[in-house]
Amino acid sequence: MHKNSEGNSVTGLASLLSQVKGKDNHSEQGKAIAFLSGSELPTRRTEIWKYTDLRWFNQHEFVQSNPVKTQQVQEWLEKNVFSSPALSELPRLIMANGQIMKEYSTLLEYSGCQIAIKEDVHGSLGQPQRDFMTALNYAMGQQTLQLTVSKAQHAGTVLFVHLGYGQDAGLASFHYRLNIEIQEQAQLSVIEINAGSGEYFTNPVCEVTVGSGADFEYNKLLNSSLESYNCANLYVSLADHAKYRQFLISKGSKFSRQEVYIDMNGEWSNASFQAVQKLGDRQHADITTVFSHLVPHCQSDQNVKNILSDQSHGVFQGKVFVHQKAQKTNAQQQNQALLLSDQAEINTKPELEIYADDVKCSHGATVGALDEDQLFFLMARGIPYDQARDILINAFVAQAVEDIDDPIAKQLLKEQLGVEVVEDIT
Amino acid sequence: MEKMNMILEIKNLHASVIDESAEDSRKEILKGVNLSIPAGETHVIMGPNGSGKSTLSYVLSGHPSYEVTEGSVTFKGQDLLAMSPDERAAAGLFLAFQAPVELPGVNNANFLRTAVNSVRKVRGQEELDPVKFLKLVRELAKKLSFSTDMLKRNVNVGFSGGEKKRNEVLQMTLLEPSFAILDETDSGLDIDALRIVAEGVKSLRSPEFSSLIITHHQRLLDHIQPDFIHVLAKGRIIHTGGPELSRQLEAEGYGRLVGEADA
Repeated sequence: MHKNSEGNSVTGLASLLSQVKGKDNHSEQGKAIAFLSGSELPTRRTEIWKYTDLRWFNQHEFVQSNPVKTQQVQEWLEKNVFSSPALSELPRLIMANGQIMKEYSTLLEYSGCQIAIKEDVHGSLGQPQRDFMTALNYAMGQQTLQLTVSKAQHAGTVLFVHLGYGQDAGLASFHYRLNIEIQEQAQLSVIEINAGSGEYFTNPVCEVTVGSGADFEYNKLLNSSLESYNCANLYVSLADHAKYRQFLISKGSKFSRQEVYIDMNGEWSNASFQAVQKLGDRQHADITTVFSHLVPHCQSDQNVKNILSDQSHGVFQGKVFVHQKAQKTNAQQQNQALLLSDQAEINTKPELEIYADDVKCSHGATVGALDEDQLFFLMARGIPYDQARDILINAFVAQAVEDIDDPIAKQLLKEQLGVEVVEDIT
Repeated sequence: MEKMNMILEIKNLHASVIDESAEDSRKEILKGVNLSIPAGETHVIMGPNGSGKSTLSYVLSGHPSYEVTEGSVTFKGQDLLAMSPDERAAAGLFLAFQAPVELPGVNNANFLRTAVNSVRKVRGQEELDPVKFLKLVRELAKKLSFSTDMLKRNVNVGFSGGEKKRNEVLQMTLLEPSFAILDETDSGLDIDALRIVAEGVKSLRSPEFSSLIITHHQRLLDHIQPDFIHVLAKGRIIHTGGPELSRQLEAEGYGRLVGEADA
């Protein structure tokens, strides 16, 4: 256990930074460490952390992770990937405790894209201090994986798996970094699965640049250990006519915060973000988005659905920023919550910041329980309560999942949500 | 009436509607209803607005917003009030809703098949696979002039009033009830739709099937010859007569009967 000069054990940020002492102050990493050394953990008094409490962070002693047991990774892959004909054929990147597992990562030899691994943290974000968790990623990260899809190349669908394994003493943390460049007219679809066991903390940062007319689809399943803490920051930059679609299912983790920043830098670019948070027990999950319309004629839509049981807590903060130049913007945002228990809680904060005058922007939020009359109608037709309830929960999320384009992702995410795959019997 | 095989026996039924938002959260609507319906008979309930007709249908089918405070209901020898709504349906009770709810995101054909197989399972009958089910539902839909397109849509979403009512009759036919309550199923129907709905009800008639029809109108009764007509007012049945009573009520209104009951 780390002790400070007074003999007290060191927890929180101090225990993390003690792992990376003596870095060059001029590197991006060094700058981030310097920034964090003079910072405090965000509290709920900070506007963007108003609904999500990071107190757990200071209560843990962060430690270096034990080496990954290959056997655990092998077993997980056999059960979840190799057993599925569709998933097992995809080029895959397997990471465990933040390390690339080269022996399993067929993506490294995949001809559809180029991969470069750098033993340092790189990014184009420039200002690591823009966000606490991003700065932490710069400070703690050890590698950068750069994935490039060349001009006009259609790379198809690839699989990313991020596994985390906790350990007996202390909290291990993983701060991996992915930079993806999809050049003009190129295409990439990513299916990402997060899973694991035990108590750990993940804090990846992913930067994506989508070139002119390029297409990026990103389907992410957060199904991490129910004892784990997961933050993730995603930064996407869209060139003209670029298309970005994300579907996120958040159902694992004790605590999670997913931040998504989309910059529409090119005209006629299009961003779509769909998410379902399905939580129970005392889970806390937060989705925070900032969609920036910086040029004219761009379109965005966001649709976040929450299904909350027990004492779970869902948060959605969605900001749409429309720059003065971004005329003819079309931005839509919707947040719906289904509360299945009296003690479940949702905080939803839509935010519109508009400086252009010829735009169409809308937002809406609904919160409610299952409709008693709908439930009664189904039961009056002979359908038992549990099944009637499932039918209505299914109906609540079914449409969102139907809109996923990638058929493999669609199948996987439907199964994960327990959305009955209803074949059209007519 | 002795020796008759009673399908439904309501004795001194008192029930309140629960409205948690109201200051007085329990409001008594039914104030001692007595009604017995033998197997094979068609009974009608008429009565002024607010007399408790719909409440009676909801209480019989088990809606959670109503609370029975006194009395008993025996359905085919069983204590109906002790059963959940789905158990009542499986036991053979069917309520055709006055205003059927819409279920966005729930495919109509899948809903119908789930419902049919739920009651078949409880009744110890073999569940229907999609092929058998579809064959059955298509035949019935044809009889009810029900476009098969309505099977592909979400339950009642975007249906006209007449389509919703036909969907109710389709559900009733599929679930093979021994006792059906039709709560103003004739309201809002045009003449053709009314005839189709009436035919649907008549086709179920058998010595084992009874029904309770709630209506304001003579028209449906022209198609379906009822055995008895009851007048429900202020939460009680105040008068019972033969089929001729409905014409008398149309001519006179409820005033005289309600007045006599009060006196």
